Amino acid sequence: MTAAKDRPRPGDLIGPLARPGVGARSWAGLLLVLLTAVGALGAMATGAALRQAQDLRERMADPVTVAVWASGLESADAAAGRASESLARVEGVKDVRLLEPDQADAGLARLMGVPAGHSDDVRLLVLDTTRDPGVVAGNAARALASAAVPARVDDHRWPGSPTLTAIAASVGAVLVIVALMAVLTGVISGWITRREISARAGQVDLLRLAGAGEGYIGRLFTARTLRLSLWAACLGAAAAAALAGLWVRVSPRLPAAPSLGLSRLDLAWPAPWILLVVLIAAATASLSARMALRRVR
Amino acid sequence: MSTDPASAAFEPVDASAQLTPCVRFDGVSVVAEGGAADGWALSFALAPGSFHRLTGASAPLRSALLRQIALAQPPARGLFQLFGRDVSSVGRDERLALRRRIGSAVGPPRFIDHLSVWDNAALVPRIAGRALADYRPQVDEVLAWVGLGRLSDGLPSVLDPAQKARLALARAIAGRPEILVIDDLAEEVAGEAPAAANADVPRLLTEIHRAGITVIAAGADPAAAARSAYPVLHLQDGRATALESSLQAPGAQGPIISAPS
Repeated sequence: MTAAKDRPRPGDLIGPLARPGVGARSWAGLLLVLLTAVGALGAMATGAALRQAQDLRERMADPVTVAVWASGLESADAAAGRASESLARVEGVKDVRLLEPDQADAGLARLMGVPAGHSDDVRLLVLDTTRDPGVVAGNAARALASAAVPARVDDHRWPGSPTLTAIAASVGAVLVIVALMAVLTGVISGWITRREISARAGQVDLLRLAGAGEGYIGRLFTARTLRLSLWAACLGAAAAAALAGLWVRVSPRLPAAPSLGLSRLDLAWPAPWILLVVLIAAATASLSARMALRRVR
Repeated sequence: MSTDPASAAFEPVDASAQLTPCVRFDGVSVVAEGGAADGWALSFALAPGSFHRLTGASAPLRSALLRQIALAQPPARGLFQLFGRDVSSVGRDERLALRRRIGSAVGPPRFIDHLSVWDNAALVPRIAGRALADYRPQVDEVLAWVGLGRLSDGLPSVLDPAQKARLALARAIAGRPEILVIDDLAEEVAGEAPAAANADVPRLLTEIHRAGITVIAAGADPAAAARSAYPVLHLQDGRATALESSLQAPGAQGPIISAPS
């Protein structure tokens, strides 16, 4: 017999998390890894979008923004010059200001509907108005069209503004993805907890006979699901961060690849996502354990 | 553990507690698988420190009764008192505290397969939240006493049926219970002749009883129970009946059977 002082720490009451063979727990773990990876990518995209939105705020501060781009032999700067002259004559325009080119311009141009291939070389002009910005924007678009200046005009008003519509659609899509990932994470955590309890009905009975209360047994299974989800969340988040990091590094060398606006700062976004996954798993596992233990009698 | 557990492993029962039955059933139904047994209304009271053989009815019903005493399942109806407390009126925490005063080895010996023999024996004090350093010597002692000291690091799956029965007993008493409810482990060892499988269990139960623990041991054979030195609680036709044991020691406290409610 092992001497009392040498006795190792008692084993886990429910059993080791990793066991040989592929079972429901393995599939649940894999699904959680995938969900976390997708959710973490969504979190990074949201982070990038929020940062870009900060950059765009200045460029959308005036009532109307105009994007012009190069066409034929005319450069973007020349087109901006001609646009500035045309816009100054538009009724209701108080002031026309040409913005210094900025990295954020390409993103804003895409949101405004500038055709692909031109968005990386645009010039932005902002208009201060004395009349309703919507009317002025319409007048400005007609004036630019008659001057044959390739341009998009945005009055930043919901719901006509293509920029706001695109931003709302992007934020909405990301939120839906994140919410869906969160719900699915909860469903899987709850399902695997319930399944583990049902599969161990005899063990649960034994624990009850040994004096364990429902809360004690429930916590054992909740902790087990938490460990699984923590592992899965870390793996999924690491995979997402690695993928995004690779994209940040490689995309500048690929002319056709969109930059997505990701930076190295955004690689930190998966960390809070891990916390969210663990919190969701804890809540749903605890609830499922309570319900499942009522059925296992 | 010494061969006399009264001297080491178990606390003697307080003499003043003798006044109140530690188990009291008054018109209590038995809930077996599939619901309450029709027409059952058991009424009896067991004195602290007594030893009773439980016979009659079917094995599932006997097990169900033991499980009810161990608070593993609630009675469908009737008054059930443990240590003087009506279990239907106690809160969750007190119910848990009452349950921890009862050691149980009900049904076929079952264990948590991935845990060692030692960890299985230590289940009750561990679940009760006691510190490892506190219960470690006690579990070592109990395992040595049931003859499993040298096998404590192995898995339960390597034990033979008799050893499994003794491990179930060790687990039931490792938490120093005041009441021990136990199915006849000899009869639960499939494929083994009871005497060969389990000759030590009756001796161990006797020693446990001598230490002041109330023992309720179920068995299928009323004749065998009647030959033992302890009073018998016989279940038949929905009632509990006290049978005199032929070898019952003079003055041995039998169950108090009240008139059916």
